[in-house]
Amino acid sequence: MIFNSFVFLLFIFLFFSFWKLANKKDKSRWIYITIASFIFYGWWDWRFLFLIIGSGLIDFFAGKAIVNFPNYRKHFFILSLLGNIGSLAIFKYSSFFASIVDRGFFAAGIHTNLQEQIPEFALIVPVGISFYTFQSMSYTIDIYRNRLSPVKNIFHFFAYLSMFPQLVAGPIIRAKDILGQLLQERKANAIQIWHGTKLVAYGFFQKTAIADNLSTIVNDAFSGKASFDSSEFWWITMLCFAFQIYFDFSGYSLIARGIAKWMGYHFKMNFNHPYLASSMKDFWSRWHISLSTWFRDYVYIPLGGSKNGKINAHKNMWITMIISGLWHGASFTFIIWGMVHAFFLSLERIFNGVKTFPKNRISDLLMFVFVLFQVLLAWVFFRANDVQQAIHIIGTLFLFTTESGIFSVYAAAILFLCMGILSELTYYLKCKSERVKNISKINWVEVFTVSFCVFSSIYFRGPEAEFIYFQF
Amino acid sequence: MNNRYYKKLALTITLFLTLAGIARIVKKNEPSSEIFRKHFWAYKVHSNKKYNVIFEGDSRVYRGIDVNSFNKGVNINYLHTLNFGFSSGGHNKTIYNAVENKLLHTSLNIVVLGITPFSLTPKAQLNEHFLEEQNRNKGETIERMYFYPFLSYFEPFNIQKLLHPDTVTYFEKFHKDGWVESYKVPANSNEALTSYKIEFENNQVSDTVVAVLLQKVKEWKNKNIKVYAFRPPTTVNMETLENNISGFNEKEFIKKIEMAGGKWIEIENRFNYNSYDGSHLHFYSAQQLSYYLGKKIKEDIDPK
Repeated sequence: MIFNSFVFLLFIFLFFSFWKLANKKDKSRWIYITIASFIFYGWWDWRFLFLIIGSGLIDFFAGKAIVNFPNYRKHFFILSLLGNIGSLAIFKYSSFFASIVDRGFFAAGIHTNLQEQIPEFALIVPVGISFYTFQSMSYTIDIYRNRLSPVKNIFHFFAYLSMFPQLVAGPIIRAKDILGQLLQERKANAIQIWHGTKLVAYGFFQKTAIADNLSTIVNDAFSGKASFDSSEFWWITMLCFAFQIYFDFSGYSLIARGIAKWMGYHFKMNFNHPYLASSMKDFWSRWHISLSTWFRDYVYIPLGGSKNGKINAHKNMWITMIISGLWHGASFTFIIWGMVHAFFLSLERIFNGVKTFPKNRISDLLMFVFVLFQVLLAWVFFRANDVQQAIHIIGTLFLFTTESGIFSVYAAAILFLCMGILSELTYYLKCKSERVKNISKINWVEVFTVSFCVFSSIYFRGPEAEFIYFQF
Repeated sequence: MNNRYYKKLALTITLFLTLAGIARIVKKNEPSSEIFRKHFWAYKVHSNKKYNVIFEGDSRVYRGIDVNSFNKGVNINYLHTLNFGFSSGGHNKTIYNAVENKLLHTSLNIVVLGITPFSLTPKAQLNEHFLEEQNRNKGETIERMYFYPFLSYFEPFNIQKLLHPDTVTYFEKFHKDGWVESYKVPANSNEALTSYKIEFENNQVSDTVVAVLLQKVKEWKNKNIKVYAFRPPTTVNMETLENNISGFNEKEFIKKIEMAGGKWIEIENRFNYNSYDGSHLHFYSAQQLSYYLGKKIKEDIDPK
């Protein structure tokens, strides 16, 4: 089920009705979270519950075996990796890789039909597979590295793995951050309930009011339904998409963090105003933090990180970014998206970017614009249906042509784009000005802001329903 | 300390409810409802209610046939009529099965087929609209079927319309019997022509589709189900376009369907009806047409 549905409202009401009771004892708490999470996940398609249970069982027992059979720890670790990467390979990448093989053989004059041989069940990507697989993998990797002890109770493990607020679209929580929290009865106090409410309200506002209203222009543009095709139109569309994907995903993360707060748990921040980044490196420390730190800890650093010279550091970064692109989807457009980011990051390292600028508001603004420019170009590949479309859009962006009528046909989308930009600017001013910060803390301002967010997320909600990151 | 936060929470809820109340008053006269639209389609597909008369076809049927006016025209008390039209709906087995499931199977059963050239093309056979609704997950279907009166309190504003009042507005009222009472402001009786030209490129009336339809008509006749067919009226330009590029031969089709046991209803003064977009009928024309069809069917089943 999705957060922005009536069924979820009922679900969350029922969940918290019995939470206090279930929360008292460890076992009942874990079982309660696990069952609720399975209902939440199984609401889409109960058959895919077997996948999450299967992959979880492999990692739970592999984790135990790594500690209990030290002579075979490597074997059990590899088994766990194979289980996780295997399920990703089957459900997410089999069709993509089969099409590459088919095309390769076709170029050599041999007709293969691997893509059509793939069983139908493997063509459906289970919702959130990339998220829970990565979460499960981090558990065994940390045990293998002696940074974590395996849990004794299987429901303790599944409560961590399947915890419904973040199960399908993150943030990717680490076992070491949450297993400990699950060991105690944590009661949410009034402050946590209020903060949780604020996060949920902001999250819904970001998702249903801003991101969903921006989807109108973005969907029209990329499906070819829009009657515009000028540079002006594509720059506006790409700006809208940049804010759509940010608010869509950040909205989900905020709702997840808010619900966790109501339960008494703490999830780390997943987005930290990425479009206020002063460099591409800074962008990646603010965007999808739980994933970028996952790649940093489990891919980039094990590859050698920046230890073995500059060239190797570049190479490791490129590998990490390409894998990150592939994580988002089985398509060349995502791989190119990763490569474009790697290219800009490399350039930044070479020219040592930000250090050459003096720090003031004008240079801040110039850097925001410059980073946003690079990110927008990369987003073209992320959103395009195929590489040809992306190339056409990039070409059009630099023709500097204009068209009339865009602002009236997409007035609503542009209004919400302005609201999105305004909300980021407000945050920027809050960081820079003590006065703005103090105003935002006044009780009435806070109450009005939260009420307005709830009201807007219901009455100004846009047409899109699903969260974009569910497909990953 | 705790009190302060609970107070904030209480104030937030109060302020939200006040804003929601104001929104409810402001929104009272909005032309179309998204919540009722969702309920309408869910009910049309998933309701277990049975009928003696079922109209089947595409959007020209669900916008063009007012069940109430039809019932007045046919004037038989015990008839329960359903408008079972869908967007880009094609005549095929999927729809025929759904129609049979909705029939009451009493002494008088009638299926009325709305024949548009597009509904006989391969593209229409996908029946995407019907299948999308039929395959919708249970939770969402239950939400749409039963919780819509509650959800209608939370109908969103149309921001685009608020910002640009001159934006084309579709006025739609969804009736439980399957009719969508509709019109558009401003109307443009040539609007649909371009999209239909595109639709018929590489997508012509299919002999196979017609053959399957005729077979079904024979089958229904043998099961004592009366089958009527008619061509929903539209504009002169649209009909000329369809006759020229869709591969539809009306005279030929009438012959075939009558040989299969169906009855063709010829619409008199077919260009006197008013279309707001060059394809669909304005609601008052839909009422006239439906009454006319009711009268014609009454004449056939009860010639006195």
